[in-house]
Amino acid sequence: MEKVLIYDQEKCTGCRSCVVGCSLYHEGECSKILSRVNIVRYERTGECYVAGCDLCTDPPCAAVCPTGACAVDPVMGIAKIDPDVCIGCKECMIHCPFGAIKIHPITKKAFKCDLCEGREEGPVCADWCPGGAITWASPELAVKAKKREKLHERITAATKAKEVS
Amino acid sequence: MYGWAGQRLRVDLSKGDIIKEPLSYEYRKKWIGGRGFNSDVIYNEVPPEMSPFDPRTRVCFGMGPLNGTAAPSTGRVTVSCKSPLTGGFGDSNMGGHWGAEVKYAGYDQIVVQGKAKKPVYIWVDDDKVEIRDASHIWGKFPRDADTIIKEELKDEDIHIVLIGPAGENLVRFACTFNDVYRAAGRTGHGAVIGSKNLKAIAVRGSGGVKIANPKEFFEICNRLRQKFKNDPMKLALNEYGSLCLINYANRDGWLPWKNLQWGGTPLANNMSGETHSKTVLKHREGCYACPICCGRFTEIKEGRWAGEYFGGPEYEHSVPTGPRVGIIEDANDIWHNARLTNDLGMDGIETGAVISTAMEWYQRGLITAKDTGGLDLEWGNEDVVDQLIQDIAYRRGFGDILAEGASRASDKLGLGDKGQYYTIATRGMALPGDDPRGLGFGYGLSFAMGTRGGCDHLRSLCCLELSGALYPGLNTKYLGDERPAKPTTTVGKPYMVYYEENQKAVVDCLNVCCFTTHWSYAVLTQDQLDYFNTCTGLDFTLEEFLEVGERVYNLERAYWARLMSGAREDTVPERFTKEPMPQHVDYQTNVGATLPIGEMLPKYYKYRDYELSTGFPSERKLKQLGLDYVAEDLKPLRKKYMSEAEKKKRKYYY
Repeated sequence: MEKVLIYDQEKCTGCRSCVVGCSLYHEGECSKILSRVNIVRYERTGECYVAGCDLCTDPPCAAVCPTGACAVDPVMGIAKIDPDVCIGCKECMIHCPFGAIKIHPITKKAFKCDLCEGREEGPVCADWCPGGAITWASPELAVKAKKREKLHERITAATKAKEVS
Repeated sequence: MYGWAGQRLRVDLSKGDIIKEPLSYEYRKKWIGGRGFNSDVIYNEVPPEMSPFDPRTRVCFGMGPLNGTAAPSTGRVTVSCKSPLTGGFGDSNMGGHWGAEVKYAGYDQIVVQGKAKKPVYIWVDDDKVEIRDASHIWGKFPRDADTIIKEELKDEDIHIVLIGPAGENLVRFACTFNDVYRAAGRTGHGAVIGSKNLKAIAVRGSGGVKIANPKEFFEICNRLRQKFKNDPMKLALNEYGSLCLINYANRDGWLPWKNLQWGGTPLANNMSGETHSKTVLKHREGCYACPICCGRFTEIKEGRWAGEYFGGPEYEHSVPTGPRVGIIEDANDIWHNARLTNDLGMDGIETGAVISTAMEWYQRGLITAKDTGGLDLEWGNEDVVDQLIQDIAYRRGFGDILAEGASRASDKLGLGDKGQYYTIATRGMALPGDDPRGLGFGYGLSFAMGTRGGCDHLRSLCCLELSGALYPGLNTKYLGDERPAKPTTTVGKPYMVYYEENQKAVVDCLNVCCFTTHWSYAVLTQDQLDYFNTCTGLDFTLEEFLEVGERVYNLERAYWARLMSGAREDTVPERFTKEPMPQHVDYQTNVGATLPIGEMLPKYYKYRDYELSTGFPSERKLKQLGLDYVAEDLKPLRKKYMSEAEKKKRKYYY
């Protein structure tokens, strides 16, 4: 079964380990703007969210690309951007519903998640995530596990309620 | 340039000047960054006799070469100034994301000097630096001020350093926050910032940190992060926060109960990490690039404080306004007090310490309700603690006296040496929530020797002592002997403290978190050297690396020496040496222990190469560390310190 990145927003601690790992792995520099994955923090209420590429089957970024630089890769099945063909029009960036595409500050071309292509241990963001907010897993298996979890929760709650009554 | 941004930002609030100074290669190599840069600025630019509230005094925010990189936990900031609490050298360290953001904006250090005519805040937008009006946020809680500034600058993603109302009211232990809830608590620089009419420093950085050998650096960081995944200390800290220490502290007798009269309480589990995570934990939080994420976010669900929320608490923040003042039955009271000190912008440790000291004065009959303005300072009286915290922050009534810190308050109330006996402070700063009779004699020694008011749990953070039992072999690796792993022994402790102090000074120079050192087995000192070298492209040896720490440490010690503080002040509160630990919990392990500080001091001096008579760093050592100018400064002072007039003085603060 193919693996994908699964984001569990409840578990995100907002530490940006994913951000800094991504940027270092891909660009050899540590920075927030060079990362393919983003963290949104609301300091006052302490909420944190992770916003990365959701690996759409029918990606809007590829659909709006005027040059074909952003297209679905036939092998990996995800949208990829060819920087040599990209003209830096920012259409993909604007149309991505998850804010997962950015423009490189120096080359001015668009760049996005490539699942750390070729890295044995899987994408760095999932590998480095300390809280389990980003996981690299097959969606079917993840959903199965979740179903069990939910069912278990429901049953224990019901038993408890019975005991109380 | 790799690692460093290469410049210091200096803001003069009196003149409105903004100066960017390049930092030379030699300078960076000598001090590394963070605490090193800060200590150098304080030593050279703030004369010891200057008042901490003088407009010419400096507040430094130091970042290191590792800030903002992928090394474990690189969001820390060191804040330094001449402390209004102790009158001596003061620095404190905070987590969060602000440090990384400043590096991305292109600065290694921000130094603020002068005094603005009206309340202002500084807005650093990469190269563009502005001083803006802050009249509308003056007096506001950090959380509200943070929201207003973000709305005003139309960017939710910026990071802001703030002070609370206590800093504005010059409470001597006011602290600084970044990202609303991350506090650099100790030594009271919040008041210094407040005295400069500065409310906040907002930063947006859109650059990055360049790495000399990115591939190798990535491999090292990756290896360390893999090790963290199964590290027992990481798992405990992530699951329960630093409150995971509560039950250990209670068992080993170092959880302060009623101003450290006892080392634990049978009800300690009420506030343990295990209970906290089951009852009020909303979710977990992490500082920049942290593989541990020990931060908590708490929401109180029931009782009289229902609906309150805040980032925190952690062990040192909640214990002083909890068990130390005798509150344990309802943990919600403790969380509320922690929330309150946060919002008002005060150091939780010092706040709890002054209140608990006042409570002990009350218990012993040194003060009565007449002195306290009618407040009944009985142990565990939450109403009074809640009232006092607010009175201290706004300097009202009895709170106004306590806002001076315990030692000063004792003198103000005219309690004499008897009052000072119960302050549980060294060099004017109160000890944190750790009783060295149980936590370990190494800690006790470092409480006596620390260079930020002589008191701190982070100055040496004897990881080898604290984690020794958890990681067999760790002590052998560092000290060649397993015996020092036992907390209540003096064997090997002087060298351990010497080593740890130097090591932690380097860690503060790099500005990574103390939890990502050999506190756990994941990151050893050699690993830190490796990522430092690959990040910056330098080729330090382990000796050179630790020598930087020793240099910083001796410079700070010399600052105290210039204030006439030396061997005579290297003591711990007499409670630890004179009162054997009484039993309060059935399974307590350290009953009857006292701290044999006298046994350890001479050996420690030998390792440090301090003069036995004065306790000043020897001339030989200073020259060896490249601090010839410091040696010159201390030359005339050695004799003065030994003069009869100096010997007669009792110094609790400076």
